[in-house]
Amino acid sequence: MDEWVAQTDTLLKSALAGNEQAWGEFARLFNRKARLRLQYQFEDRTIAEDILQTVWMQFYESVRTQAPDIGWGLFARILERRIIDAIRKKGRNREFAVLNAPIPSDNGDDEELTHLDMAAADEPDVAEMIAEAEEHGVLHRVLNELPAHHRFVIRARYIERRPFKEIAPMLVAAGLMDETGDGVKRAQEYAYRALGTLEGRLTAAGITRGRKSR
Amino acid sequence: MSRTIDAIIEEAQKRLETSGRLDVSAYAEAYPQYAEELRRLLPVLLQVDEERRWLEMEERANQFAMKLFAMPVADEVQDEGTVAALFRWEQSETGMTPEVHARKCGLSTAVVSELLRDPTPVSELTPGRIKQLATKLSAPFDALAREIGRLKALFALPSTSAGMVFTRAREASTASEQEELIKRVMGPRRPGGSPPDREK
Repeated sequence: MDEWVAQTDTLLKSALAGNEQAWGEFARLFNRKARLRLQYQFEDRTIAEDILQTVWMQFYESVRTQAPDIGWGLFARILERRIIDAIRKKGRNREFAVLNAPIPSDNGDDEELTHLDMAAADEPDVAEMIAEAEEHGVLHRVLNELPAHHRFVIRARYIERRPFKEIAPMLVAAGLMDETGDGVKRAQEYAYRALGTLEGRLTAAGITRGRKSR
Repeated sequence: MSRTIDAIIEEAQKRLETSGRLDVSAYAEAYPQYAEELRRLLPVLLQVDEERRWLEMEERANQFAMKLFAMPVADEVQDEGTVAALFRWEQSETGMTPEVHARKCGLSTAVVSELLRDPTPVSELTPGRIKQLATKLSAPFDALAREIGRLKALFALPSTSAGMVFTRAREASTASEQEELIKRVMGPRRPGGSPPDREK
């Protein structure tokens, strides 16, 4: 964890010195973590994208003008605050009502504190936030843990949406399939088996088949 | 010959790609011999497709961050005008109408007309302020930020150089050549520049 933070800090320093490649790598790392966090919090990708854009603008302005030494911690704080803003804006009434309910006070203070106030006031624990985001990225993690040929075919067919006639020679070139028989047909069978493996591992990880249709 | 389960799943995936929809129950009913397996596997297709959409969103966020990095920082360009002055100056230098200007920079004519009256000081045009402006005008942030960045860069040049850049950028260059050209001319203001008058 500390190593990861040190790595991103180095990338940020290099980026601020004008290294565009370092900035690209830095953005990629942060967007992955932020995406998992946002995906857990919101189902709506449009809201998530809007939040990420706002976070990047605030973060970029801050590190350029005020806090060049602060990396992930600043990004995480801005992200958490924008998430709270978005929850408020979205008017998730039930959740908001719970968060916004006054916390019973034992000493009879007049000033009412809500759960939301407390959440906003808390500084996010960077390590905890990253671990939490990773934990929520179950599908991402399970995909990465599939056997190489299954992972390859799932990515190529269902994420990159390549046709099997394109995937078959790629599997052969990667040494994941031999050249005997009908390559397209065999690649299609690979995909079927890979889906079965993925389903089994998702179920084992506690992800049930929630979505029936779309 | 009955269809194999892998062929049915492939057909379902193609349907998902073309229509964006997948009815798991309908497939299970259409192929009762595979009903149980289809009920188990087709939802995984939907989950992976959702992951694909999030990955696309993540990629757009990466591109957004890269655009921020490429944008000129407000305090690197010392100018004194307003957004309105900047856009008027560009149109007077090139002789473009708002309609032509709008078409060339990817904004609507209505947005360009609004920008011709916008009193925001150019020196305050941080990415956040441009985002606010884009939201206020219902304009695409990318196009607005790109055009403002380009004009601010030209703004920092002596008028004759800027005119030459306009001519090349507008008439002969491809988009990538324009970006390269703008990058090359970016930098501290040269002596003898003629910025547009501050809006009264």
